[in-house]
Amino acid sequence: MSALFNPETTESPADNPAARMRTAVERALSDSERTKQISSQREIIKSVVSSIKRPQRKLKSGYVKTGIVGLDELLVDGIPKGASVLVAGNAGAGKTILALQLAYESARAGEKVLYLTFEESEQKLIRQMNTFGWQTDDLIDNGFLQIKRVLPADVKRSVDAIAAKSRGELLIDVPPLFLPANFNADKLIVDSLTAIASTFVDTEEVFKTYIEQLFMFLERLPSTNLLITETAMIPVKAYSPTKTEELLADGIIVLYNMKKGNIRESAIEVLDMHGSEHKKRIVAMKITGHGIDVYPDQEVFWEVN
Amino acid sequence: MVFDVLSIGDVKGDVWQSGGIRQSLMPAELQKNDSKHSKFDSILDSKTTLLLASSENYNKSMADLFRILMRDNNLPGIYVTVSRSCKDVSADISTLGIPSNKLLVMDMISESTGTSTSGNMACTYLHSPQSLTDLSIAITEAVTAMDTTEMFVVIDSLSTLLLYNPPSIVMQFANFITNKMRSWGIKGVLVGLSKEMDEKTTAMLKQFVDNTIIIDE
Repeated sequence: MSALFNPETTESPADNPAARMRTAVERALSDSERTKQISSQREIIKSVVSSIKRPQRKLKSGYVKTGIVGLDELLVDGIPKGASVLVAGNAGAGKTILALQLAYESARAGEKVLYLTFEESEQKLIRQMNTFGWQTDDLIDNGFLQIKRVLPADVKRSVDAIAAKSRGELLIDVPPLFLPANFNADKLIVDSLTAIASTFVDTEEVFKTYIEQLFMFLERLPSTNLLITETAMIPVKAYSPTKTEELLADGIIVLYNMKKGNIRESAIEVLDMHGSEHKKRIVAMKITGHGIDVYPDQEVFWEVN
Repeated sequence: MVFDVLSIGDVKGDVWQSGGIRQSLMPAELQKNDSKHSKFDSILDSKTTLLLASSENYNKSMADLFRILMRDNNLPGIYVTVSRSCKDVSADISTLGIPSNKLLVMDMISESTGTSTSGNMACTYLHSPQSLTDLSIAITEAVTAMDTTEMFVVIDSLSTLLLYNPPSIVMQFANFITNKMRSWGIKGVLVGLSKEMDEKTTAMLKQFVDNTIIIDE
């Protein structure tokens, strides 16, 4: 809704405070509903994550912003440059939208962003971005944004090579991800680790080896990395397919969908961000027609089950 | 239900929580008719007010509330309705001779009951009486858009919210929103039905606000 005054009168916005308020409210509240429920297990999970001993690795100095208003306030300092951060949440929580929005805002700010998609096609993701009003053509044409589909077969080739090398059958290094040549990304997004895990049927140990290699590979890159991971059904006992990812990641951002009676409400939390000051609370989040809005000062009124 | 435009009703002096000294200095006849209006004056002197009315006095109380806020003091504001549709509220407001362009009605009930939500410029709709987070965001956005302390927010009513939400959540919301109202410097009124709330709930709400008005019979 863009009208600021009653079209049936000649009142100006200054004369119609009700209309002005209504416009602001409608803009804030337009959203799409999603489903799923979480429980108070997050406190247990948080203590587990905090207690996990992480290998202390030296992060590049400085911080980067997401470009998402509200989320950057939550992060306070920002995401440490070069960090690999999990974006976790159950199906429909808004993980891909968040990642696409971060990609768009970062590219618009002049950063080079590489978005690796293991499920959706490039065209579908571009269409999704366009529905939020994020115009991607110029960003892609000018080399600031690249969306690349990675097929399961490509992953399997890397996995087989890593397994062969570990057995001494292969002497060369094969990267866990093949990145486009000559595209030195400032931000790299992997959508998603869950999709990668689904290609490892009955081979969890091999997947764990792959994940360890992947994080070591990402650590050597100059980019700051976001890895999407889908959580299991509530209650959540892990934010990643094998928990290994939580051990190796430098931070975790969690998206929630809370069932409240017969409605759903979204929320977001920076569960952990190694080496960075951040606000430690669950705050309201809305998925609107123009993307994700995070309200860092807005409590969520939920009853913990 | 229609606001009673003419009558201001009777009030027992001993339940009037504020302005008692002033009341005792006035002639008895004027006291009776003026007591309720003076009582509502205290809303203007306070940042946040809890208004508890009996079901018998509810309509009259709401009429007095809108008269003092909008007609007598020309304040714009937000009215959150959990019990009645925006359409009904708008019709009642107009009978008081109050211009509707100074009031934004946040309707928490129409969508969930399937009542028509189209066509009224002064209304905005939330999904359900359980949408307290959305309500809080909506109030924040609207107050921020107004960018003035000369306005009010009325939440009508906490009793109805308690039908749809656990008491602890409603209390959490009440505490949060009254603090927000105070920080914004605006006038905030939380309405409840006096006989529908238990003592514990009432006691807790009283500590969240600066002023309590009880209109009982």
